[in-house]
Amino acid sequence: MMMTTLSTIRGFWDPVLWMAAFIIVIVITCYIRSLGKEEYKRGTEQTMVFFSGNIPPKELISSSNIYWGFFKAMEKYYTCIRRFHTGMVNDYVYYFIVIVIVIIASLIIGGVLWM
Amino acid sequence: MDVKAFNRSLWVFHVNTGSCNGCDIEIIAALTPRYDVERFGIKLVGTPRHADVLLVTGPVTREMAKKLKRIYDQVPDPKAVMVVGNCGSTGGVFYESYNLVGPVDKIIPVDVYVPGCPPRPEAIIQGVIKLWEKLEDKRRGKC
Repeated sequence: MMMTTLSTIRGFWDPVLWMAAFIIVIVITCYIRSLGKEEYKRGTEQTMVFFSGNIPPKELISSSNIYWGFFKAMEKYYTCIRRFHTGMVNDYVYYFIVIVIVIIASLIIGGVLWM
Repeated sequence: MDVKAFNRSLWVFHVNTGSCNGCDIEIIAALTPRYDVERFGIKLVGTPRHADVLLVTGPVTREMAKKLKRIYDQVPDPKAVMVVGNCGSTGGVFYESYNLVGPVDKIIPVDVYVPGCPPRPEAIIQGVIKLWEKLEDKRRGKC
C-alpha cells in the first residue's frame, strides 16, 4: 500500500513526515542523555533511591495510596458500586439490556407524550 | 579564579542535621533577588543524586548521623561538602550535648567551613566559590 499525504480541511497527515519527526526527537533525546553524569558507581548508594536518607522500604507504596482519603470519604458509594462489578459477562450484558430497555422506553413514552 | 574545567552549573543539595533554621534562612537569602546566586548557575536540587555539593547545616543529632552518611554516599563523584554555621563546624552552643554525634566532620569529610551564627549570605557565597575551586581541583585530579 502506498503511503500518501492525507489532506483535510484542517491540515494534512503524512506518515513519512511523522516518522521523520519521531526519529529527530529520538536523536535529540539520545544526545541530551549522553550529556548526563557518567560518574555514578553501580551497586553503591549512588544508584539507590533517595528516601530522605532512610533505607527505602522493601514493599512498594502504590500510587493508589494517594487516593486513600478519597476512597475513605466515599467508602459507602464504593461499597455499593463494587457489588455490581462481579466480573461476570452475563451480569454486564444484563445491565446493558436493562439500560437499553430504559432508554427505548423513555424514548417511546417521551415521543408519545410529545405527540 | 579558574573555573574552566567545571563548565556547567553547580547543583547543591541542602541537609539540615539539627539546625535551628537560622543558617537555612540565610541560605534562602542567598537565593533571593538581593544576592541571587542562581544567576551564576548555583541552585538547590531536591535529591543528592543530582548534586555536586552537599551543604550541611546544624550539629549532627544522633538520629541524623546515619542519614547524613547515606546522603553523602548518594552524591556522585567528584563531590564536595560545605558546612554552614557554627553548629555544623564545631558543635557551637550545643558542643558536647548528650544528643549530638557531630560536628559534621566526625561523620563525613568536609571541604569548606563557613562559620557564623548564622553566617551572612556574602560569607556563604564566598564559601561556595572556595568550594567550586576545590571541585575544579578534584575534577582535574589534583586532590
